[in-house]
Amino acid sequence: MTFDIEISQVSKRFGDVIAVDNLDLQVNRGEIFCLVGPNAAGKTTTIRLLLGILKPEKGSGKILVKNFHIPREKKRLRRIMGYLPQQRALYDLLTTKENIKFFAQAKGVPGDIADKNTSLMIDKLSLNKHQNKLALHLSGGTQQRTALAQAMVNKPEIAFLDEPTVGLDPVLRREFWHYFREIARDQGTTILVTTHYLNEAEWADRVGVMRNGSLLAVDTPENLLKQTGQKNMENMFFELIKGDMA
Amino acid sequence: MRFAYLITLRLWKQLLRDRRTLGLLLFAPIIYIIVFGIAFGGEIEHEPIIVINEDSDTQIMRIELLPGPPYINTTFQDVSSLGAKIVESLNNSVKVDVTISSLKYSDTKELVNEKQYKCAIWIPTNFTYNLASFSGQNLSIKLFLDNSNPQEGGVIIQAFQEAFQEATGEFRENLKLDIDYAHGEDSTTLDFFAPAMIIFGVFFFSFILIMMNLIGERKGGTLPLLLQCPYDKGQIILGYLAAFSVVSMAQTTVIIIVARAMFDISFGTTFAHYISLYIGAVILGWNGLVLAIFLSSFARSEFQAVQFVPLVILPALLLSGIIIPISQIPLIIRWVCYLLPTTYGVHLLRQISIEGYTLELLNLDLFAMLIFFGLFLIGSRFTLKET
Repeated sequence: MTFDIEISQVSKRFGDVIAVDNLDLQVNRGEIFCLVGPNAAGKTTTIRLLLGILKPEKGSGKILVKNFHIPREKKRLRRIMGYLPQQRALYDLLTTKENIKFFAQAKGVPGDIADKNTSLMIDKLSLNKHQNKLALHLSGGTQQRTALAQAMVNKPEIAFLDEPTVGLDPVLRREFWHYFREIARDQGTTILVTTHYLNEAEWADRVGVMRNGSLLAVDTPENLLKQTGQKNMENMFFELIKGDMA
Repeated sequence: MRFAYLITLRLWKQLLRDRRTLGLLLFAPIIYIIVFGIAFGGEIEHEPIIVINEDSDTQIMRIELLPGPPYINTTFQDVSSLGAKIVESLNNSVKVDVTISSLKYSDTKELVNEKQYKCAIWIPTNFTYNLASFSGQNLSIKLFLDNSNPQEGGVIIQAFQEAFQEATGEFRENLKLDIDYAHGEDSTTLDFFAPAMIIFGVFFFSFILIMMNLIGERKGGTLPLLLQCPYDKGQIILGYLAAFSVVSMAQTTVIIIVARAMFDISFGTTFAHYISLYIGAVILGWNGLVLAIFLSSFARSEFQAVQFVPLVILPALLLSGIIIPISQIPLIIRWVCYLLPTTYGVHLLRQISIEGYTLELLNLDLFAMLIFFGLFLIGSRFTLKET
């Protein structure tokens, strides 16, 4: 079986700190895979290793059967990939619409399709009334919606969303997840999403519970709850790390 | 006062932990003082001049009226060549390096035009005889001076006057210096500094602006996003180059207009001069831009970036010939001058605006600036990274 994302035995350390420790991970085509865990669990490092921003000390990773550390393959992948970093990266003095369109074109989407995709994203993420406002004047939630629109405007085959819901209110967080499910269903986009809001993970197809750079468990949310005998993901997580905390 | 104490303590802690800033804070003043000391420690010396001395030893007749017969006493006095004495004095002066020539004056003028010499001096035949016998003929010495740098021109005139004074003593009142100018006849100090205004505006402004802009992009997260796009990062640099070339041209235009309107400084007389000026300014701006991209990768914050500014600007200001002519900078540090793109920029812009030079395809200054640009470009292509 081939996976859209495949990591085997990947390790990365920063000085004395082991950020990712012998990590094995597979993500299937079209699924929403959620890496969940507390801060400093290694979620962002895993994404940055997959994107080639960081180099692993050992092990290898593949996206869509392509090795991301080979430049030519990297370039091809970037056209069909979406990436939302943790930080809201917007140009303050461009409007919402200009920001989204700029990144559509920067990802190689031709001009007329970039226009169409931009309008579509503005509709889907309810940015209509903000489209002509400078990013500088947007609220935190609207900025994050714009950043998400930027990441998805090229209609990616695979998307890496690093803590997309951080700092958002519960309503907007639910809306975001609703949108993830919609594009996974409609476009067949594979989504690797990270979060430290443990309960959010139950909206994913599969969940990888991460702590100290390692995966503690990988399964569907239902199976994880069943295995640990818990009713919500937060309790499930504490049940999994019970031994470590004692 | 407790709050002030807390703030001081917090700042010390931060500073001590930011080793790069700490290093720069201590290292930068050492560089400044060395550069200042050496740059201003020199004098304008060894300006190359060419001298034609056609004068020779002579004999002058003295007539003395007597009260009785034969009423007139005629004596002959040997006078050694004043021209030779002037040349000897010039030879002893550290301000100039003298080459004695037997060429025609017109040929030596050509050598000055070609920049091989800063001045051609012609001491004519029978100069001593005419001067000593008060015949009133050929009492002038012809000088053909390259005054494109008024400081250097002034030193040459001063060296000549000193030599003449030393050589001639009582005869000096009769001398007339007949000066023609190869370049910069009406050059004032302001004209001399005018191209430097463009250097300031274009190179330094591009450098600072891009440095801050890139640090902002890196901190704001947009640069890592750009680097995740499916294009070569060289295109990011090219995009910056194209955008800021227009800024460089706009700045050059503003400087030219204001300098002309307010201080009557002319940067050229023909359209070709101005085109040359713009090309020189834009390529110099590119140097500032890629240097900023290159160095911005070594700064993690605006605070660290700001420290690079004097480290780049001070040597460029003092060692590019903007204030102090390169010839005045001591040999020990002069090699640094030739490692600065601004040196070539200053020279090129001065050639255009003072000497009326029009840019040719094979111009060494332009070539040198393009080499620096290429090196900085390759460097910045490698240092531009997400992390």
